[in-house]
Amino acid sequence: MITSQLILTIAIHGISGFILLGAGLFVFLQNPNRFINQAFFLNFIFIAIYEAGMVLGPLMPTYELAYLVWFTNLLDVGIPVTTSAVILAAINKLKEWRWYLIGSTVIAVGIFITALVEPRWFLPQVTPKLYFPWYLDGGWLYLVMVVFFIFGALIPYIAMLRAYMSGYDRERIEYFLLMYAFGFGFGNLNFALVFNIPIDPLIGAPIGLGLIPLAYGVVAKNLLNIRVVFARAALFSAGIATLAALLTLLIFLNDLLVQTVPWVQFWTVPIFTSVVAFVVGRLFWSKLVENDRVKYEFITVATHKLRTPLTQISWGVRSLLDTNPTPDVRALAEHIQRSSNRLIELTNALFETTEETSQQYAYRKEHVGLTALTKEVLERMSSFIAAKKLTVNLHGDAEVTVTGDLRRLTSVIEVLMENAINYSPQGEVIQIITYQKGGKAYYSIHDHGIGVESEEQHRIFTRFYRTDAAKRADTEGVGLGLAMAKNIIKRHGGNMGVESEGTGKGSVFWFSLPHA
Amino acid sequence: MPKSILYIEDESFIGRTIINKLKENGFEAEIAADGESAFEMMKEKKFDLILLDLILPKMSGFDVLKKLKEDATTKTIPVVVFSNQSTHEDKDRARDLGALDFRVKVNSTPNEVLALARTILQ
Repeated sequence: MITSQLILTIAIHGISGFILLGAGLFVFLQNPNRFINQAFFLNFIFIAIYEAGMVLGPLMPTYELAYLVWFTNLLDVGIPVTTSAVILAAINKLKEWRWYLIGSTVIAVGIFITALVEPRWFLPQVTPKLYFPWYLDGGWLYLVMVVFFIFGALIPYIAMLRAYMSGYDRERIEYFLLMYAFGFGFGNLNFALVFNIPIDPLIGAPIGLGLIPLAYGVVAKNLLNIRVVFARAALFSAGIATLAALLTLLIFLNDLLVQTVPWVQFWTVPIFTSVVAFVVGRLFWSKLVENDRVKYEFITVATHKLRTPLTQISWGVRSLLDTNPTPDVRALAEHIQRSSNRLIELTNALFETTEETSQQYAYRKEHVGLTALTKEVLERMSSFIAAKKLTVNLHGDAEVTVTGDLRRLTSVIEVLMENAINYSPQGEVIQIITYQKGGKAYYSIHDHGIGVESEEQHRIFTRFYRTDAAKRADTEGVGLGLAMAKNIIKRHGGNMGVESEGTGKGSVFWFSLPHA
Repeated sequence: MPKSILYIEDESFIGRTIINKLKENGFEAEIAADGESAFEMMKEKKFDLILLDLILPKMSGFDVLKKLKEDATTKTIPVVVFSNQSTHEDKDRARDLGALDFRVKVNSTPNEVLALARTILQ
């Protein structure tokens, strides 16, 4: 009988399964060539198959079908092996532990084959238990699998814990530790009822909760862009659910056709749809991948090809300057040095914006003092400021601290500062104001430069866009700095904008960030 | 005894600039133009640090790194990848294969390479 309790349990197991599938697929597609991503994917697939068994097993109409579905629990032997692989890859110990991995694969295959040869050793029968119409009644081989399941993963887990204690790559492995603690903590509870220990599998249902520490790691350490992770995971889960619905519909239509149209064979529809799906999918996928890849590869290859001659020019000039040249030669060499630095910055900006927009990689988070950072940037730019006889004043709170990626926030301040210097007339004043208010840090740079017309204000943060006034004032710029800066601020959970009364009336570029 | 550094780099000007800088500052430094000649040189001599470019003729830098870390006689030598090819994928891969650090040539100066070598070999 199907009770509300049963529905609740299988619903949570079902949701866990879908989340795991979506997350596994997401991680895999992030970088399908990387071993750890492949192992992570397989790991989550195995757990998702287990969850599918939990959902379908109790609902089967006959004993034979129920036995068959519950028998797929045998695939659990894959979980400790893939878990070990993920853990060992995360702590960079694959090579030292390869015999452990090979050994546990052999044990897993051994259990698998033995169970196929003599299914009764693994699963003597399925019986009604608690509110389940059918549940597993495990044999001695099932118990062997559970022991292997627990210890197989526990041993590398301890190795990971020790790596963590010794300070190895803490930020990265912290969330792996928590994820598997949750996943295995909950997951193992489901085995109790198999051996008639009355623990309700509802308690063990939220295996997908293992993803909470992962999500925590993602949010706290910003290992990936959280919004993208959730959007993709939801998209993949929805995709899988749609696919399942389509398949069910297809099976239903197939049955209908076979029964009503005499010449339709039971294999006609499946084969026909497989061919169509394959051709359409292949076309769609290749177009999708091609577009993205071509753009990304073009810029990466182009910037890389530019970088080698740039390195030679830059180092060559440096060596020339080291030889104590005559003042004329020195002036020329310094001119070449400035130009090559400019080209290096440009290729770096092009390369970085491409990388920023093409994937979601780690932002390193630490406490950053905005005032101290600004002083450092000003120090580096002091010769440009002096050359234009500008005065730069700092106002506001003594120090405003935010949590962020130091290197990227430095780029943001550099971009804003460079613009303020480049677009200010000689002898003007630039004011920088930093303060905190209501959990937020505010930063603004006020200049008396070329200004921005109101209709152009929202467009200047678009890549390659430059206002007419900017093109006249500085012919060198390409219009990437502000786009990159705004992207970085947004990824930190902040916002960026500009205020100006129009051309020639100066402007205020500002950003806000969550306060540390 | 001076510490010895092997720089695997096929671009001779870039290679020479770094080697000269290291030699002027008391290191023993040699250059190998590709992975195969690097392994030949390592049979003759033991190095304390390897600087490795990624784009090389014959074997790629990643293949060289992999082979270095597989061989018991070379796996303990610290390797710094020093390349202009620097996508996040490249950086991840180099780290997975056991590189100690990843530096982008165009964004470094010979003096910074010298400072890095000093820090590692101290």
